Amino acid sequence: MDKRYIIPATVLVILGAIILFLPPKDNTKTELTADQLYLDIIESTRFISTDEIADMIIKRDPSIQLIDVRSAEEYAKYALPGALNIPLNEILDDKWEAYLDQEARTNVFYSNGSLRADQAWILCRRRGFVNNTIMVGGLNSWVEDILKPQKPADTEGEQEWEIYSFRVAASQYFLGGNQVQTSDVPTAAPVVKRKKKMVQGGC
Amino acid sequence: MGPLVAQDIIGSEWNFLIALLIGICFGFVLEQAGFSSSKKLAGVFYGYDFVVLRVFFTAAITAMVGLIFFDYLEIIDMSLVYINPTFLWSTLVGGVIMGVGFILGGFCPGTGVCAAAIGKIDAWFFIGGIFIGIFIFAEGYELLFESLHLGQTDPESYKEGSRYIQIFNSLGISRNIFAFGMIIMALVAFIVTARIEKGVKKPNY
Repeated sequence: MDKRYIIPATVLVILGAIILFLPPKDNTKTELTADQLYLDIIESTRFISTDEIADMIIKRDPSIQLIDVRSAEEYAKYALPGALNIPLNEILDDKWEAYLDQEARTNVFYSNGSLRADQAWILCRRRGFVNNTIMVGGLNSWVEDILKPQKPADTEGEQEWEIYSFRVAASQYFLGGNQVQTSDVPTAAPVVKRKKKMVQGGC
Repeated sequence: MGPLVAQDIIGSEWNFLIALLIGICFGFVLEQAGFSSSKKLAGVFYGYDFVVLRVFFTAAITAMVGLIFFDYLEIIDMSLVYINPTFLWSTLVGGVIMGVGFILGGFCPGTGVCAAAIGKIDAWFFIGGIFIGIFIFAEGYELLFESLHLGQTDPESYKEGSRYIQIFNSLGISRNIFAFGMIIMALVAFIVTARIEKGVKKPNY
């Protein structure tokens, strides 16, 4: 072999040896930059209302996974049906990563208010995880809206009353069926449709 | 930073311009290295000249080493670089046809264009043959070549990226170990071919 090839050949072997011993790369690439994170934070689709959650629990929607980010004691006292307990101080643990970084279901974080759920969401989003959402208002709103729904004023529109009747039904679902309430939703008088008279005779 | 076009750092319109510049440089290097002589290329198959093998193998491992380091230093993001899906049967059949074409014509497509540019008549015929081949392939694709190209698998699976087979994944070794092995393989090939060259009489060209 020609002697002038020795130097380039040695250089290549040395470079190859360096490649062989390159330390593994940091996995920092999946983390979002501040700009991207900001754009995601102002996006309103990361919130889900308590009504939507109640509806999905009642319908046993398999596409959501409730995640309780409060402490284990709080979780033991009261939690939403089917919720998984991932306390906020454990959210960065590897053992929860499979639940948080997945594309099969929509995770819904909740805490007493929105604060801890929001913190959990930001930590997850920063790590590049998607499909995580927050229940607006947390359990406080849950109790106010779903478990103890307030009767809307009589002057409210039909939509408000529909929401109210849903909430009443939902509260019965979650609190047990024995407290049957009489419907105080005003039923609109049935609209009598007048049959149009066929045009008589022919032309 | 890179790849520039995929990350919208420069517009995709630059693709052709950059390709043209690199192509001109590539052609220039091929020509000044004497690759526009069909005897040079045929030498690989007859065993008297392995420069072509050395040049392309060196180019491959240099690019490989460069990309691995660039990827490591985050100058280029290899996950954004387009890799051709693997089509096993069409690669095998196409490789045989290309190899026969090499021996018969004495050019590969790149050196063929180089030789045509300096006015070699055989290269003009070679280029003409390439275009006839392209025409037959394109016109007969649905009739003859589609089943060979896609094989028995569902065409959808090619789109989902499951067909990006890499040798080191199939062997179950890391990319870097494979790269090192590739360098050693190239050097062994250089030494072996140099031995063979010594034993074979070189024709005048």
